[in-house]
Amino acid sequence: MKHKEVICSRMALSLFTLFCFGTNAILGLSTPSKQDSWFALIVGFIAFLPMAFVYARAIKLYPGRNILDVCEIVYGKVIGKFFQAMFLIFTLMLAALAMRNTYEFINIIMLRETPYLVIMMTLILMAVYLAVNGIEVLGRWSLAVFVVTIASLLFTFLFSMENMDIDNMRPILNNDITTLLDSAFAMFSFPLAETIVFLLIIDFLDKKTSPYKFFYLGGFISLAVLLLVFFRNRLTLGEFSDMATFPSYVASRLIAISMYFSRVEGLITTNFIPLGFLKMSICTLAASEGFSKLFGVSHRRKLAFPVGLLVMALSGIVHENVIQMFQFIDYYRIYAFPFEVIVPLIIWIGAEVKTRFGKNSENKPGTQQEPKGEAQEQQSKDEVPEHAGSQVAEDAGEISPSTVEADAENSQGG
Amino acid sequence: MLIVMVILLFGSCFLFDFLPNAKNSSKKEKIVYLSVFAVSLLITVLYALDVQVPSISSLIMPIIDAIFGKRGG
Repeated sequence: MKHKEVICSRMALSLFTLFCFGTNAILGLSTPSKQDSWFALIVGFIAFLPMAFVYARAIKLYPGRNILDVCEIVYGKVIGKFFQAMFLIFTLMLAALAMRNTYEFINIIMLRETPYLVIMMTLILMAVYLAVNGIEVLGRWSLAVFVVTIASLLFTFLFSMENMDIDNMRPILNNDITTLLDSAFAMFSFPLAETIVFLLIIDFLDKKTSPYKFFYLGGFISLAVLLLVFFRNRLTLGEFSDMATFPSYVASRLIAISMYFSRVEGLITTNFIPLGFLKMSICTLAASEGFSKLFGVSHRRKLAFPVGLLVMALSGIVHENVIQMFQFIDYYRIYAFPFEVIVPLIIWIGAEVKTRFGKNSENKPGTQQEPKGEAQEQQSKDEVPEHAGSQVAEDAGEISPSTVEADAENSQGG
Repeated sequence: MLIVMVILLFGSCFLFDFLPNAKNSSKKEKIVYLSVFAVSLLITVLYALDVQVPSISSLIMPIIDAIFGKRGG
């Protein structure tokens, strides 16, 4: 029996928040609705809630499995592999985008003359190190980074207050509804719905942490953090926050406490880089999982290094230059829509139908299997190999009715 | 110089990651590993040699433009 990697809810939530905060902190939160981006962010969060339900429900129906297993259980080998490939493409691309964003930040702000590959190699070695060491190390590390990041965010917010001007938020809700909805869609797809990547490695959640709690609470904390970032940048910089390449960096540059304490942007820089490669590590881990499931490799760690190298290679060709990187933000929400919304919806609907009307559900209610006891359930979970193949997938279909019952109880209780 | 760094990186990956695990891996696992490795090496070498490779965004953006109309900056 393999050792199953699990992390506590605090670590899981800090991973979620830092993943959302990650490259958004670098690129800023400017949307077409400008000063009304806060509203777009809230609407985007509201739009994320039903999708969070879909993500969590698809996993909850098959406890101990990730979305790649669910694809194969629900849709069989051929169609299941197609969906697995879709997830893999999205994850690889996201990792490459995160890496490129981090690189551009380092290149523009600090290391102008350093060749691309030198920075990339350093970043990918750190990301692969975290990915190879697994989700437990990543979780512990993210908890430490979370504390430092939030502390520095609060610090920069408080000390930016003397530079803030409330007029920078006016006129309030002056944009038309189309622009607001487009901006909300942008906020939904980047970063909130990007958290679908976690579904590939979701088996790290411990028994006490429900996937619903993970997505809802994680989304809420991320919303609070992103709102704080937006208000700090907008109130400090005004319209310039829409034009600045890295608004958070520029906003923190203005901080000066008397004449002795200034140039706080170094603090921001040291935060952004770990955030960037945390996102890379999670995506690399998820992509390794995708490769191992798609091609039947026994453990994702075996592929972490070559997948990391592939991410590095792809990040070099994902954009031609930094201008195209910022242009692509306008396209990203449409590109990501099938991966973040359509595919998960198809899988969730299939999973619901399969668990409710599958062959085992044909039993009459009186003869239906009783839900397993907690100890039995845990034992059955422990017996499931981390990378279940199609045989295990078939077995999972057999335990589904009891799972549904147990799940119904949970959802009533929660 | 860059190409030397690329060879060093990929060489160390092969020596310290692939070879030690090769004995415990099935043939399929080795093929998957080496395929991913080869694609990465190819792209990175092309990049190090300054060979122009079409960017992924350049492929995606015209498709989205064609379906949904030109996106504004």
